Amino acid sequence: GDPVIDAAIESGQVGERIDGRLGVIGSADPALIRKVQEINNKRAAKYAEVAAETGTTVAEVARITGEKQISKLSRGQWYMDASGSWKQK
Amino acid sequence: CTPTVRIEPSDKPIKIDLNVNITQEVRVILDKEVEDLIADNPDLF
Amino acid sequence: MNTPHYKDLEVDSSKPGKQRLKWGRWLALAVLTLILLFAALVWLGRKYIAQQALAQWCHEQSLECQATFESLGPGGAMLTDVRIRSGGETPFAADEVIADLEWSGFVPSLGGVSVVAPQLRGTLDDRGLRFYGLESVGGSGSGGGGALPPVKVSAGRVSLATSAGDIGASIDLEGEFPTSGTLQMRLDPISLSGPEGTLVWSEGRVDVVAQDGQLEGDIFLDLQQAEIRGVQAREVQLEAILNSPISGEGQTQFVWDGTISSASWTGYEVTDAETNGQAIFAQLPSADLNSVLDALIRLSAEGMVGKVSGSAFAGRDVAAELDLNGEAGRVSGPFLAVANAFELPQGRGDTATVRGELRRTADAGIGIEAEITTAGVALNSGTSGQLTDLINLPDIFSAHEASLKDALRRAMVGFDASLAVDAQRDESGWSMSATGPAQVTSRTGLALDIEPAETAWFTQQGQSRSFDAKLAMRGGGFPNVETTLSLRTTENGLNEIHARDVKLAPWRAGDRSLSADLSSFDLLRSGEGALTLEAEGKIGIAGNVSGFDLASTHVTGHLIVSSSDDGWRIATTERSCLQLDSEGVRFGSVQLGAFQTPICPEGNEFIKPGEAFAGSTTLGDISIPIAFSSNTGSVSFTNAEIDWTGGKTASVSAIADALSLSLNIGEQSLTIDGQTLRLGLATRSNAPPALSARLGATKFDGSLIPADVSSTDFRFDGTTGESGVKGGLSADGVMIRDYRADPLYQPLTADLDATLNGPDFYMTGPLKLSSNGITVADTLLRLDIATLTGMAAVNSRDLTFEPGGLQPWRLSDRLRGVFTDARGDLVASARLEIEGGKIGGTADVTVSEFGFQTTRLGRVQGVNGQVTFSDVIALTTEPGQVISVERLNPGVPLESGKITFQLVNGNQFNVESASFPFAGGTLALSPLNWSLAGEQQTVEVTANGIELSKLVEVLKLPDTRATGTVSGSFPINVEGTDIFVRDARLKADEEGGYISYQGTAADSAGAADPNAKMAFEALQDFDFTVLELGLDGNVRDRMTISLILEGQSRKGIAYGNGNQVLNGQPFLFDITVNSALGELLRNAQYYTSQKSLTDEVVKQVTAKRLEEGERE
Repeated sequence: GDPVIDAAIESGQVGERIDGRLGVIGSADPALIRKVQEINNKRAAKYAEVAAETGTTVAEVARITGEKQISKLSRGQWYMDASGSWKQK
Repeated sequence: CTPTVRIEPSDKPIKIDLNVNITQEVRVILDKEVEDLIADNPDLF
Repeated sequence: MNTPHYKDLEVDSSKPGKQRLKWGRWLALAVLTLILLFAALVWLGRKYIAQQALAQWCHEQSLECQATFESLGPGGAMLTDVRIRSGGETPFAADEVIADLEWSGFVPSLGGVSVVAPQLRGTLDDRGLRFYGLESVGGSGSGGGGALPPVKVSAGRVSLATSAGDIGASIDLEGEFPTSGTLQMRLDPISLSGPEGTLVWSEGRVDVVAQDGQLEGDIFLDLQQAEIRGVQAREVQLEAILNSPISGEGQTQFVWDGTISSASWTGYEVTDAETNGQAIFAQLPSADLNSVLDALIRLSAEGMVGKVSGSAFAGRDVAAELDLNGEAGRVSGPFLAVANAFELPQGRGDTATVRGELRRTADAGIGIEAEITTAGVALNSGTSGQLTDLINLPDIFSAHEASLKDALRRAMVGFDASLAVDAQRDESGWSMSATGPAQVTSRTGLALDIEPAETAWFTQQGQSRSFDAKLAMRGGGFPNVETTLSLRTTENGLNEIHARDVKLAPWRAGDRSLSADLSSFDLLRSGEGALTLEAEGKIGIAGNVSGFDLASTHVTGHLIVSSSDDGWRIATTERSCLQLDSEGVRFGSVQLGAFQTPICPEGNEFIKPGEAFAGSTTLGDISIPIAFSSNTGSVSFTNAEIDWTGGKTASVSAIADALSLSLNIGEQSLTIDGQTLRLGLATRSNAPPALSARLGATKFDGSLIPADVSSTDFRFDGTTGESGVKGGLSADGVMIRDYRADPLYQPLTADLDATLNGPDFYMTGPLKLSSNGITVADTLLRLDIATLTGMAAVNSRDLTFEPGGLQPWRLSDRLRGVFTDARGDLVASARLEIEGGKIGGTADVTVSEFGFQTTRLGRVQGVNGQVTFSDVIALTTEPGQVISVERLNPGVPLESGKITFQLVNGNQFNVESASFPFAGGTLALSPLNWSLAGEQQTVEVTANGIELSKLVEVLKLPDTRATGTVSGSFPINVEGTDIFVRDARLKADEEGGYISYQGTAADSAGAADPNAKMAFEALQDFDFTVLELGLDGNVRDRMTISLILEGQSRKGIAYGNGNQVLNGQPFLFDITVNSALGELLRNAQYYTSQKSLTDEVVKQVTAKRLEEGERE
């Protein structure tokens, strides 16, 4: 992954979301927010591609990716579940 | 048997309710694609 | 008889010329001749009378005597018509001579002789006074016979023949000579003229009284004109008393009082002269001065001259007083001489007073100690020229030399001076020295005080003169200087100057001022022009030196300067350093403030012989305040070294390991820190000084520069004239980084070129992205650095974005996440106004075929348009910006839309209007303020005039035809990446429309359920009056689409088991479909999903029927 993002994840500033997007936990400096936004834009493009190939919706691809990403998290890392609140593995 | 009734067109519209729900079981199809997607784009995931 | 009153006497010895004494000698000669005349008469008379008594001695004297003795008795004899002839002349004739005889016992003695109207004739010439031999009667006068009888001569007449004519005198005589008696003699007015000269006098009176062996004569002479051997005199009146022993041995006193209306002799002329005085001699001196002085016991005299003019001296109202005591030739005593309006070969003056002591030694050596006081003196140009020629200073101080010479010249035309002089004359001639304090004050304000360093401050011995004085001078345009000075001049000029404790106050001349505080200053000029100078102490210079305008600058140290044929050598003792202490240097418009630094010679001298006036010095670390073009600050050099060449103009080049310049420009600050400085400065005679600078790695900082700017190679070449620094700058490898927390732009590199013209700064240069070196823009900056007002323009190149290549975030990280994976062309031009350091401006950004990836709108493509930023710094645009968007997909693909918006502060996207054509109508967003970074957003969408026929096409509904239009508005709620349509209701317009579905779905649905069959049969040809399309759910995920359809089927509808037909039966359809709208709308997917649609419908319908079935 991107070093800045990995670091942010390690420090609990950024976490994976169930909707397949990265989310910023609490406040972060604008540069990190923009980096997260950029990765989400790039992920959206990928989701659209997969959705198109599989005849599914972007949201569905995003959700499954989100679930997989969260499942791969190690203990202590943060994620946001369907309830929309951040939880720690 | 069903009675054959000659209905004059009543001025009351015949109400037809139709509820269609299209879902697809995508889970299986996507599983593999998503795994590939994550693997192919380490910089994103 | 008036006895002269004795006063202090002073002899003017300043001009001991020969003529002056000569004049005195001739006067004395004339007086002496009278004395001799008188003495001879007395002798003659006495001897003659004595002889008469001895009866007819004439015969033995080969003189013819003829007398008629009137009576010759015991009591005496009376002779008449007495004639004594010698040769053809009658030296003596008398009408009546009475001789009284006195008998003492039987020895007759001459009791007395009385002569009446005797006529005495003689001659006066070089050999003295002679009476045709009569004078040789009886041998020398002194030997005469015992006491002479009393003699009485009345109405006698003397007539002397001289080469210039006869002198006559009448005589009355009575007394016993030589012991006592009186003689009155009246000289006839005479007028003699001859080759020897002329002599005219109108009255002469001699009265002599002889008493107790003392002779006392009273002489009066009134001379009209005398001219003897080149000596001329007019209107001379003399009254004199002579008192001397008859025997000639013992003191002779001579008192005189005389006036001379005019006299002249070789080269001199005197008018209105008066003299009186008293002299006592040991014995009667002869005419020459030495014998007078040898015999002198006491002399007290004074003399006044109305006007004297001569080659060596002239003056008006000249007075002298003398009071000498003598003893066997040693004479001494005070004297005083005063002259007014005097003139000397060297110049003239109002008054001069010489007061002092005169000394004469036995061997005729003369010593004079005098105090000379002069007032209103003016040296003539010749003498003043000699004085000014003594002054010559190095040509760097030529203005001072000229000013000093001018001050001297102006002073020398009106000054008072007083000095004490000690003059000696011996066989080898005169030697003179000035002892005691001397003072010169000029009308122009000069005050010069001189004191002898030891004994005399000026000595002159033959040709060599030496000057050893403690000197203090100020005023009158002269430098204010105090020093102990000693000079040596020989026949070839002033060649040795030694000064101690020189204190020279700042002395301004021309545009330069010099000051000095030296403990020692030694200058030696040897023969062929070589010169060595050694000075220790502090020298101060201010003003223009070789083109540099120095504020008061001092150099302290011990300097040795020597010049020889092969040039100048300047060094210090034992290679010591000089200390430079300056209050500032200005060259052109650059002003360096006060700084101190040691100046150390590189090798062992500052300037080697043979080189032009050049040298090099190490300065080490030095920090100097600086100002130029009204900006102030400071500059410091680390490990600085300077080499310079001087002369009329100077060039200085400095190298330093590091330079740090900090400047205040208006309220802003600028700091420049550079490595490896090379600075070059050359002043030029009639051009502004040239200035050049080279810097290696340099960092520019300070509030003036709103970024971290550094360059690898900085160059400046130009001049620094009065109107400011002018020239060309260039900086290569410039790195510009926005140092703010959230930088507006990514680091840029540039090679900038600029010109500076006084305050006008004009810079241009391409900007490259540091990350990949792509040139992104061309910049231009025109700034008045004095007022920090100007304009700047940034014109981008044609930027082509492509994934993997140029990306917006490479321009500015703020664009990261906004325009991801951008593609397309952009060109922007910004125009910035700078006002007092504040920057603001506008920009035009034109995008064409611009696309980028977003999270919510999918890939935005084909953006075209020109956006005008009203405030580019704040990233705020003008309102009403219009861009066209070819395609974006917020879940529903929208194409060729037009958005009118305003971007505020770079993060607030105020949509004024946004509309997309859609299915024959338009989808339009109502105005909204979209915060780009926001997570939540509600948008009001208005669908207007959506034509069902087109919608069917867009939705790709197969076998379906429809007419009519629907409109309505509905809110969209954007949360995160989900776009929720909240219960949208699109209604058909009043005219309703027509819908016909011929699809196979009708058959399969109809089979499963009669209602469905009837419904689909109705839909095959259905006029609707009411159509309401409802949408709800997440556009990006699942949506519930509901369709309310009310109307009639055009054709009859079979129902039941197909044999009843229902015509005109109104139907109300309420169909809701819940599916992934996105899928539905994606054309590629539709075909595969149509089957699923129908299956779905069938399933639904059957399920519903089961439900009804249970209910029934």
